[in-house]
Amino acid sequence: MPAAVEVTDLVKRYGTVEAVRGVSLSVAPGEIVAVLGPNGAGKTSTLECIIGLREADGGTISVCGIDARRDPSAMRERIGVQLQATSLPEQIRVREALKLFASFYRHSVTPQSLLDRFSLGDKADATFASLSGGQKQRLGLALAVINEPEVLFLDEPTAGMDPQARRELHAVIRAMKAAGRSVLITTHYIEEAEELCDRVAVIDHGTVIACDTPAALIARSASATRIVCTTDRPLDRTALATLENATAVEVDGLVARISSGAINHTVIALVHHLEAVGATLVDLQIRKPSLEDVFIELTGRKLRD
Amino acid sequence: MHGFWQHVRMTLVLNFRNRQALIFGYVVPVFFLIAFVAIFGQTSMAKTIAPLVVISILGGACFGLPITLVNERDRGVWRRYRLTPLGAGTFITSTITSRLVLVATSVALQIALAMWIYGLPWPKEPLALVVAFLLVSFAFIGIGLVIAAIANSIGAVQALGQSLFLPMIMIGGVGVPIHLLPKWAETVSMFLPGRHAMAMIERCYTHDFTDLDWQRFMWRAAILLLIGGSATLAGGKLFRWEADQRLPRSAWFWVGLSLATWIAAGFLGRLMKLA
Repeated sequence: MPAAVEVTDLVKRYGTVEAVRGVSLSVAPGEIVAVLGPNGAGKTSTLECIIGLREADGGTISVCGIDARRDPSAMRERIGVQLQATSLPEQIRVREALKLFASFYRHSVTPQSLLDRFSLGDKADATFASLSGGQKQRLGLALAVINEPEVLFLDEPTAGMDPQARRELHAVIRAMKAAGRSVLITTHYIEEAEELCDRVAVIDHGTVIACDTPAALIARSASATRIVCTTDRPLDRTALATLENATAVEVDGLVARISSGAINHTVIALVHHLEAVGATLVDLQIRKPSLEDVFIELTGRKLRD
Repeated sequence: MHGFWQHVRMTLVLNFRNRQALIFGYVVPVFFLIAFVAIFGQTSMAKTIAPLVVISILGGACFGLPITLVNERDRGVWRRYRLTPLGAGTFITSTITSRLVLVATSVALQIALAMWIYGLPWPKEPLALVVAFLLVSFAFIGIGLVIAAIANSIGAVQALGQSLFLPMIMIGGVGVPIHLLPKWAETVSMFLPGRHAMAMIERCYTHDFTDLDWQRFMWRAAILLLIGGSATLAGGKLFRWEADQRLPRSAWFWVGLSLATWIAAGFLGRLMKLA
């Protein structure tokens, strides 16, 4: 079965600036892939080239087996897109917008079913201008799935979304996967990528620097598991550094963070140390390396930089 | 086709929900009718109606159309349309169609009121009038598309629109009768589509067409088709879905081609001695 999305050596320049520098990635049918990167990393440019909003300067793009650069119209019949912000004529009503966009496709679902699904029933006759930001996002999402797309592209979909809209989006993404459809999502919300996606492509400075499952990426991390303990009095950093298998120690007031190569041994040693110095344990957490740690390792930057 | 007609329908519905569009599209033309009759009197309504019709078409096509397009483009509406399977050609055609309906209803209202209140006679050549209206609208809507394509803001639309509108009003025979113009202005007016539009519509009201009239009508029709066709082609080629989409290098060629047809029209008009 061909990939739902297959991008090879994609290049996009804006004047002398090369925003996308040879990006290659693929999305299998039924797979959810996140493109993760800080602002300006090239993820939106990559997505816009794939869906045909920007003309790529190089590379090949295949969506549902269609050469997207050669036949964007055929591709758009089979995809759905939600941009960061959806704009419609201010005076168009919600039901009218759904009806209008449904007419653009050979196959579409009924506006009423989308009104129900996205909790927009009571806003069916409201104008676009009168909708709240979250309602506009929900309408944008409804328009994105109006043709029951084989591949759904979402560009920073939860930025500025209210919790209800976010829940609905996550439900849509899961339903897409359950129906064997694919989703390519750009985001800088690491929790979203980790929770929803089968694979994560980390993009920085216009290139994909890693692409794997969240678990595999975390497993590849050089970061050690950390013990975060809170005590009733500050602990001595030098003494903590001598604990069995402790590899790094940070002390910040009453909170100590101890990286360890063998967590069981270090915890036991820590408890003994606390008893020896007469400190009371207030809180103890074991933290495994996260996708964010991986991202920082790979890019040297925090996601929201 | 379903999408095309839905877009036409929606464009019309949205226009009727826009108070400003209603005022400029329907109230202002009626105001012009009253003003023209106040200035020129009721005695020659058959002659008075032609500039009113041309001004209404000019206003709807060279201001109303590009202002709507640029406003929607600035707001990202066209960017969203671009993500659908319908191509630019479909959207441009539906935009032209809906604008034609809007201009037609505006002109129909003006003519109906002129007949009812001021006794405007029935045109001598009604079918030719319909054809003339369609051709004049086609030419000016094409020009409106070019304005929308090259203007980066509503302000730019107004500047470009005025730079076409005012010469046609002042020396194009639309606002000031040709016989009152100095010789140079009369010569220049032959290069402006407004003069051909005026002449076509006026003669449909005032003349039972002779063979010579039909001949001249056909030549003017060809001129407006040429102007409208080249402008629509240029407007389509330069159509921009997004505000930050830059005009291609070929923009000068397409705008030049569009204007070149005005020059060709002028020479053709002189050659064929179109009065």
